[in-house]
Amino acid sequence: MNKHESLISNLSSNLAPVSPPPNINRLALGWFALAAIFVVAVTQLIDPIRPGALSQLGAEPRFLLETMSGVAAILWFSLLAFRSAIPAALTRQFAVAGLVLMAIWLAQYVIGFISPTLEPSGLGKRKFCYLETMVYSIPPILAGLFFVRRLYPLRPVRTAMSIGLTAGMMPALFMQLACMYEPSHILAFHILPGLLMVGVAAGIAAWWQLRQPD
Amino acid sequence: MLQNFVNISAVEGPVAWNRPKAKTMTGRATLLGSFSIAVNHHGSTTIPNEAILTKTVEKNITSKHESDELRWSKLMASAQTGDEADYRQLLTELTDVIYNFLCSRFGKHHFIEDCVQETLIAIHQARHTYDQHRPFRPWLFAIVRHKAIDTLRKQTSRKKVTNQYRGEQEILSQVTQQNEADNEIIRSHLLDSLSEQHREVLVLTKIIGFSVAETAEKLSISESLVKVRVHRAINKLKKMMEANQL
Repeated sequence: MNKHESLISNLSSNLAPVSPPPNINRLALGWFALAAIFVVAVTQLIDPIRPGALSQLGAEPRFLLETMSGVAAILWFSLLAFRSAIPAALTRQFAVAGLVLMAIWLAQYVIGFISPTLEPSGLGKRKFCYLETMVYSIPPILAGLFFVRRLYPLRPVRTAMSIGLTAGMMPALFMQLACMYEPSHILAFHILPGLLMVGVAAGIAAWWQLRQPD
Repeated sequence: MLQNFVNISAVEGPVAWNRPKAKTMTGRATLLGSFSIAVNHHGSTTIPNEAILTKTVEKNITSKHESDELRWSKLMASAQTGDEADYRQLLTELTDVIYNFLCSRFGKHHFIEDCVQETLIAIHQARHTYDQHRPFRPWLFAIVRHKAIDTLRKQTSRKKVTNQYRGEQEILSQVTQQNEADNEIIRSHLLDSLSEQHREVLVLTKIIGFSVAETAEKLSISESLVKVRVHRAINKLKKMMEANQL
């Protein structure tokens, strides 16, 4: 392996110490908490949440379950996104579990077409809920990409897509409390714009990657 | 250890290794490190049965993996604090491991060397993400696998580009009026005598007319490497032309 000796010598000479790796779960949870606080605060600031939405959480167990499964799916995906930024930190089982949780949450809205969790109503409708969903997810996406950029994602675009999905789904979920409750409206005006953010995040990551020197 | 042995006459089925010829010999011959074949003073050979052998071999491999794992983990932790000697030792050990791993997967190809280098650079760039509390091997091989796929992709796209422009070269040589020197080179099959790497840079830069930057992008190599290859290719062509008295 003499051919590699000069490379090894170059890499190991003047070796700078590196800071120990961050606790990836703590980092992900920190990002999740900050992003959630941001989304809740800015949504509330622009327009108050639907009247009686919080009391519905206590009164309707299915609504609470739906909301909690959304929180669990998003939380899991934030861990997944950050783990994917460290080689071998994300296992296949962990990724599959995240997808299953996300599918369970979204399936509840589809089931809502037949048997809605809450009585569908236009109460609390926000005029630009789809735009709000998209816009509010951009700062969390940028913050997430900033954090993972310091790690070593082997597939940066895929990592960015996970961050985009997590960040997009946060305002989408909160719109369940802030906007009107109606399954088709939720899927078309909250979930779909949230899903679109996957593409936005992937685009940002791809652009970022292109700008990186080799 | 002796309770693990069975008398050779009692072994059922085929024995996986040659029986010792000198049955009268007394002593032990070590097989695979800690494994032994015992020959007693009565002349009857006692050998371990196949299941025990497999288990022992597996145990040896596992303990080797564990000791490697532990050592690499410590070396990397030390490298993270800036210890050059430990880092050099780690990279030297890993070079062999990566090379053997890639050869076992893809066979011995010229791109394996490039891949090993790319992987070493990736390990260097990702060294801050290694957590001592996690196993080292999955971290290492995640990088190796990724870099191998990356290199293979580059190889495929490079071949596509080369094939595409070989076709273009043929069309160009038939249709357009190239300058005499170019035609002379092509007609005399001098290009064919060059190595593939030299031929492709020469075709792209001097015959098709791409810039150095464009050629570097198409071949996924650095601009300086393009320049070096062009320079060497021209020198070789000169020598060949002189030899052929062209």
